[in-house]
Amino acid sequence: MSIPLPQFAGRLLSGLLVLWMVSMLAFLIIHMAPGDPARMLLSASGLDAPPAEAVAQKRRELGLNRPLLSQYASWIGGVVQGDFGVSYRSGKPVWLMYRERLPATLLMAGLALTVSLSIAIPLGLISAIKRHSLLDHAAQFLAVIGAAIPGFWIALVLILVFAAKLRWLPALGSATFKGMLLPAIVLALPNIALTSRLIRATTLDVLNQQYIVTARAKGRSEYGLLFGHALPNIAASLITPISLELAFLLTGTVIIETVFAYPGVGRMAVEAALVGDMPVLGLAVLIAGGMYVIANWCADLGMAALDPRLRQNTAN
Amino acid sequence: MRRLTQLLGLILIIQSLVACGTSSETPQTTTSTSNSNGELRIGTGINLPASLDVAQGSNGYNMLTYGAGETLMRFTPNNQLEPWLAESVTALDSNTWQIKLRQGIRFHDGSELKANDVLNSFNSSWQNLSGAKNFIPADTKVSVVDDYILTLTTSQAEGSIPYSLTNWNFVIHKPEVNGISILTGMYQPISLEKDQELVLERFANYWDGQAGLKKISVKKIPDANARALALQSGDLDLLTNVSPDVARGLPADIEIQSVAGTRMHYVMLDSAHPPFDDRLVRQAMALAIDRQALLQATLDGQGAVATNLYPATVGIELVEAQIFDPAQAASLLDQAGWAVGSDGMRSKNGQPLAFTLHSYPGRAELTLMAIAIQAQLQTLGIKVEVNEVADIGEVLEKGNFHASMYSIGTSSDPQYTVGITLVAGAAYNYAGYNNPAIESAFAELRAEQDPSKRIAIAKRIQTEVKNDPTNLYLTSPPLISAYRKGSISGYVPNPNDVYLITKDLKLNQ
Repeated sequence: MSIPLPQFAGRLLSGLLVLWMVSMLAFLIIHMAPGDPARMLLSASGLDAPPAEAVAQKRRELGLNRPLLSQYASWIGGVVQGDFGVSYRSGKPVWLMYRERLPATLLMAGLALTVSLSIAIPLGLISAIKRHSLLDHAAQFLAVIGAAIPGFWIALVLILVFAAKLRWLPALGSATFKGMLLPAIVLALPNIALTSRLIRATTLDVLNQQYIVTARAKGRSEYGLLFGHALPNIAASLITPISLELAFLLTGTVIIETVFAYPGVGRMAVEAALVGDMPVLGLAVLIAGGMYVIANWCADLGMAALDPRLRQNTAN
Repeated sequence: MRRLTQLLGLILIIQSLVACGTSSETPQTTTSTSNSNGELRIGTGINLPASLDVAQGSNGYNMLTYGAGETLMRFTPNNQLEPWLAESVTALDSNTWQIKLRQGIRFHDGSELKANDVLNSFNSSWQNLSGAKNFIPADTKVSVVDDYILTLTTSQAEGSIPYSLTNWNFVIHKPEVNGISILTGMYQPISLEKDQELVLERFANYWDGQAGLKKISVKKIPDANARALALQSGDLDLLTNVSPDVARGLPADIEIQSVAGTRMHYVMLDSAHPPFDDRLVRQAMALAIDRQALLQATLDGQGAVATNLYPATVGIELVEAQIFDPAQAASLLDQAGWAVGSDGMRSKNGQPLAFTLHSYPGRAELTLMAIAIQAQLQTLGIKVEVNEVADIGEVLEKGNFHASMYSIGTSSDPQYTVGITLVAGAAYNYAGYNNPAIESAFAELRAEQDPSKRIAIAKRIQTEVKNDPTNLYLTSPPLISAYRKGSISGYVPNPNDVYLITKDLKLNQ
């Protein structure tokens, strides 16, 4: 099951290469975006239109008057040594700011993944077994709705119904179960839609395999076929999408955290983008890139664990 | 068919759930008593302080707004100047002001406010806050006479000193301890979670009696609709800075308070270059805009129209100058040689009367106003292209504009708005407008200490603005707040948003 060292090293290197490229792109995009960070920061500090001399001084303070390459080299040099810089706006170390906020985002993403999988897996399996039934059509309809309606709109409707009208849940997000439930549901909805359809398609595909047909001919029930033979193969094919789903949940919280005023890293990244706080935004992009790289690694490892053919290929 | 009926039933249930949010509710009459141990939860979309140190950034603004900080002078809800921490501020001569402090004022650390603290506070403001010197020159000499009296001596006559003492840059403070400034307000800041929540508690030794709330928490909620829903759900007690469109959608059990603020939205013209280097064209522009229609179209009719450089709310006697008169505007353009062509558009020497009107997204209504102005000027034969840019400061600093939407906070001090927008070298005089009559009147205004004489000079300046406009004054946007009917008492809307929290503000049981 273990991955040979050269291959592991290769994956590590390719992951680091991806992160390096992400960091360069992020740095370039942040600096090419309209708006002078120095002016934006001063404006955020309450100055309607900061005087030119104050802007120039702020640029010097932040080192923004240096060539872009030199700024990037300083930043990435620090990142390599574990120094992510200090926030332009608060002056606090960026890593410290993330350490304070990351647990809230992780908790919400974890809850969203739990909600997503606990609904999507049974829904997808039942849709496959009861193909073309009312349940299948309803699930398909809900999947389209869930994937098509923007998250912020669903969020507002849920707040309206469950907080403003029924008063069952708080309108504002917080790192408690009740405070996380609405944001987690909103975050989970598009994933429920996509994952349940994926499970349905995979299940149908597996149920049509020759070994399943043979077992069916021997008289096994549909549920017996599903749980006794098909499920391990279905699970193997879901490892990658679920890993990527987790990465999406961790990085896709930006809008949801903003709508629910949830104290996570997504909202912090939005606030940083609004004032051009590059060090905070830079780490947000690196974390997002890192999540996807790690998700891919996990998917590879999980696939290798569940599918013997992949282990054999790896060994060869 | 049965399946279709089931599906339709499901859709109807969802629709009724959603629709219940938009229906009006019956207003409730509440007879309640105040709760002196209540926690007021405020929702805002405006930035919270970056730290609790008022000598950094605009933290002083927040501390003043939420009842933690105080200044020597303040404005009443009617925009009358009155002493606050000071007992009096009087002119001893043209360059010297004497400040007499109230006795018995306590800082949050329990110590009494003395004249020496004011001296240290002023020095801290000048040293750390770049905006402070725009209100009181940093070369002003502060002398402590005794524990409760000090003098300010300026290098030249400064009639605006009593007004400048209201500014948030001069919140009286002792240097921060553990990142928290020591202030004197009725509420004491306890904690700040950056961009999330500010918490304050009642200060037991407040000099002016006990404040009406035990605790205040201010939550930043960026999404305006989510804020409104949080108020309806009971998660919040008071919303500030509600936009007119959100206010319109609030149910009937929500009390809405709207007051025209002291901010001014206006169009800045580049008077140094064609076509606005021609005074007749600028005069025509000032008369060509229907401000009431702008207000209706972009701010739901709330706020106030502006007809000169001072908002109607600041308490300065106005000279109405920029009033909608399309016939007069057309006549002025004819006089200036801009003739109407067969296509209805104006031109002179083959050049069309056309310009770009810049705007920016920082204040959503500005671009809407620019689009409305575009439509209004089209009827006079003027072609306007609206261009929204992310960084308006960059455009203006480069002088690369014909006209630009802009917005500034103003003051009841008549000198302030002139000093920052109209005089040569002013921070917001990007076009380099220079009017000798205004320059000389401004110098007089600056030296004058008598409030009534200052108003008379301000009227002269307004008359000159009428004759030679460079800015087209449009509207003062509203300050709208909302709370559940009967839930709070003692709330007095103030055109100056820095006085949100008052001692008498209470929650009802």
